[in-house]
Amino acid sequence: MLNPRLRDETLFAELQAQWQAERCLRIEDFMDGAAAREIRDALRAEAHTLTSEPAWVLSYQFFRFSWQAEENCDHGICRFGRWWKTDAVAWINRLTGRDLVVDPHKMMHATLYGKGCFLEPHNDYDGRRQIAYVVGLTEDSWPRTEGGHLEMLRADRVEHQAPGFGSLDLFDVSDEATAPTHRIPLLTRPVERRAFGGWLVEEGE
Amino acid sequence: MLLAEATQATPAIHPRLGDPALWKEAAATWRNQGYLRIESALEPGLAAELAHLLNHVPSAAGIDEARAELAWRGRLQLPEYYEAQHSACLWRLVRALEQDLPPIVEGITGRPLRVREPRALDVVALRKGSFADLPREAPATEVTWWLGLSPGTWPAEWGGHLELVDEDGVSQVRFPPGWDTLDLFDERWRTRVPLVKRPVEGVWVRGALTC
Repeated sequence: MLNPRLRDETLFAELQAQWQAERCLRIEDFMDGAAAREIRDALRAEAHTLTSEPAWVLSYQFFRFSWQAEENCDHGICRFGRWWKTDAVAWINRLTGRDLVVDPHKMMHATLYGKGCFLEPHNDYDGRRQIAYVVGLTEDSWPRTEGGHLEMLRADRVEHQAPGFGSLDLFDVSDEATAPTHRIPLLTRPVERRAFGGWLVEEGE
Repeated sequence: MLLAEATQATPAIHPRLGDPALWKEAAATWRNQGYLRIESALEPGLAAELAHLLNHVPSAAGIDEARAELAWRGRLQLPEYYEAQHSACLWRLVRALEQDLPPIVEGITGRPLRVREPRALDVVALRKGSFADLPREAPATEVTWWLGLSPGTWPAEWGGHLELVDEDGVSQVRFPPGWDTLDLFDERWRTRVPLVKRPVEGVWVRGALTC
């Protein structure tokens, strides 16, 4: 599932340097196109539940589908889940110089944002989470003025990331002081913004 | 005990609305435009009691495919006969909708009307991210009502205003979220609520009167 171009050691070294410098990284075409389409199509077949919370701490509204990657199951989302926990995380560990795992206590989560969905600013820090990851599974594109783009709210600027397809976003959330505050502004048009995401943690925690 | 006894003899709609002279004036407006907004619709204080209570009604965000509506909804179904375990203000509202309102709306529209779903209260809250896109087409026999219990109002650019849309899909009338307001409209109008873009909340109880 890993895009073969990422086996190029020169490119890998460039990405490593970028991670070390910024602790925040977008890798386009992290997954090869066929694999991304397969997991996207498999997720499309699953019923996502509307999750909405108007809380004063973190307000959000989006659709979610959660699952456990079962051993020996040939379903697309299980095969993807197993690949993610093993090969993909091993690649990320090599890139970041960490030795992290997918949180064994959590389900795997896919999200679907449509018109009316949003995620208010937050930094993901909880003392356990080390690196946040988002795999983009969105083929549509639209202007960021219509919402649904990932925004990193820096002290002096806002960085925008359009939804990607087969892309990987990584950001370091291990330190409350530096974990980037981010949000997904209200999506105002009827599109399908799909992603898979979660956090890597220290093994044994 | 019957509902009529339980809800006392006094109307639960604002007393001034019982004046037929007022209906005559409103009837001319209704004939021309097919919609009305009545301010201070309920007996004084009832809106406050209802708002406090409805704030505690279990509701869930969901999508109504038929309306293309994403909203927070809760539904209360009161029993046919008076049941003291349900709050008195809910019975007052039922009284307002089932006994007091039909003759007033009949006086305005000239149609004999009754409540479509007795004892049923559909509570809808439109919060950030809510919308109702697909204009709902009302049957020709109905007068639709939206009772506004929104704690505040806001600019139309923030979304969440009730729009009455003509048959060409063009928005002709816009009602901001109201407090103790009763919006009435007939089959000439379809409804639309643009996407709510800010963390505000519009609250309505809504239903219909039918011939």
